[in-house]
Amino acid sequence: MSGSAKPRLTLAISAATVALVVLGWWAVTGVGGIDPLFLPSPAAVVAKFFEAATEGYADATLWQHLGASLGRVFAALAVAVALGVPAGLAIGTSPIGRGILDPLVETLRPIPPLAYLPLVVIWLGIGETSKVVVIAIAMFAPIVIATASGVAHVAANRLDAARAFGARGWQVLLLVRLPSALPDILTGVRIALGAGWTTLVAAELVAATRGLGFMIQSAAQFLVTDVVIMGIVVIALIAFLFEAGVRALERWLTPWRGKL
Amino acid sequence: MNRRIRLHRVALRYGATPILDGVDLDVASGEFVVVVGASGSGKTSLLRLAAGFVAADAGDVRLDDAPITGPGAERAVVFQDDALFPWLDVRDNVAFPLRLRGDARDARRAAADAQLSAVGLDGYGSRRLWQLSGGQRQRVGLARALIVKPAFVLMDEPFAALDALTRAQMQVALLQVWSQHRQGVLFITHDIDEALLLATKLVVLAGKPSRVSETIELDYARRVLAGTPVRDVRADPAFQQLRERVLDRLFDAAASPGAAP
Repeated sequence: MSGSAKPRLTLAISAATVALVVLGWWAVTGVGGIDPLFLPSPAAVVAKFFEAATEGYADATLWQHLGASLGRVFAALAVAVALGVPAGLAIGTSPIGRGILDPLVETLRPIPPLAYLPLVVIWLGIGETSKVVVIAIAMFAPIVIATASGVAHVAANRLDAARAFGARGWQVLLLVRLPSALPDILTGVRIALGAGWTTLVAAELVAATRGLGFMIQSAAQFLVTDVVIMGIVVIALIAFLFEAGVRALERWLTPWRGKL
Repeated sequence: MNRRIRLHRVALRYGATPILDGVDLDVASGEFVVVVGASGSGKTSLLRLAAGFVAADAGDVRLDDAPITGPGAERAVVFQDDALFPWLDVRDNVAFPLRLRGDARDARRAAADAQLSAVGLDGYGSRRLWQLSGGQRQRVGLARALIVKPAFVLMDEPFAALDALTRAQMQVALLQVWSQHRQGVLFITHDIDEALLLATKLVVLAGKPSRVSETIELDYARRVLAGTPVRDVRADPAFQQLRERVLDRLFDAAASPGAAP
């Protein structure tokens, strides 16, 4: 009924809000009196975007920076899923698994990336591995917690049905609990991607030569404010695309969500 | 082969609350046993005992002569809210028990399609569950139960969530499916009309804790299968009298405050 009208209204309001902020930004910088060092104009930032995209900044084009960052985040996601889903299964289905893993995950979860970054660098060096690991640590907890909650809260009658037809323990796990938990796991992935992307700048603090986070830090050291802002906007846009991408993945992999 | 599920002087508690006490129940091949009782009377517990989901606190639950210690392929279960798996299509839901058994993919899919035809869902194999009505989903649940060719089908209020018209259609459809193989059926319901219509043996569960208040042999199911319209069966004065009698039993037992009618 009003199902399509309401999101459209919300969308229009959101678009207007963004437009208003940009307009205000443009107006404030247009009247002069603000040093571009503190706040460059939107036009300058857009110009920087095209300059970085074609000629590059800090020895790489914007696309190469972006590629490096995306590569790290998705490598980290692969690691976090590969370790996090089994860990979540163990926590959600076994008291022993819960006893061992729960305190570890809960200890790891609230630590800010900048706090464990030095340790990771000491252990793993300044190479690509430590950057991926820093991001993966940030992604691990959301995936573990979402998986554990999903596999622990499977509808009792589904489990009864599986047992009634003779499912053994591992069959219940793989054929019923895991697919039942898939919507939760994807929610975990969505939160993890957000957390991982937020960690990007920290991960690229040490000895990076490419990446969006590196680009911003490099620009900040030389007070190139328009590149800093451009980098921030690109990071925000990519986060937005992640969100849309995972939602598309949810519609594709868990089409029953909200219907049954 | 003539087989029998037998509950003998069974008692069951939830925590400190006794649910069933001294219940005797027999389900033999070819029998359509309907247990009718009020909400909270423990009739679902009775089914869970027969299915092997729970163990009795006292008494005996046996299949033929062996104690029932867990679920078994000869006792298939149909659940109240279908308990199907939304990540599978209709065909794979029906074939699920065969997959657990390790049957080859082609064989189990062919078997599932045949079973879907038998429950009146010819050509629905590739549908997804949310594309089906509640009645169709219950047919899928029934097909999944029947695909293992069980000796017994245990049905826990399978039509409770359906609208009256769909429920009436499903009752007749169920009788027709049952008449082909004459499995032993244990059917749980709180709907007295449904109970009278389907049962060859009606078991009234009443009291707190519940025990079997009455067992009645019935032949309305056979009349329906012989072609008598359901409306005529229901209009039979004897049917109406039985209805009142069962209702009285349930009301007497539910006279204590807080109990559901």
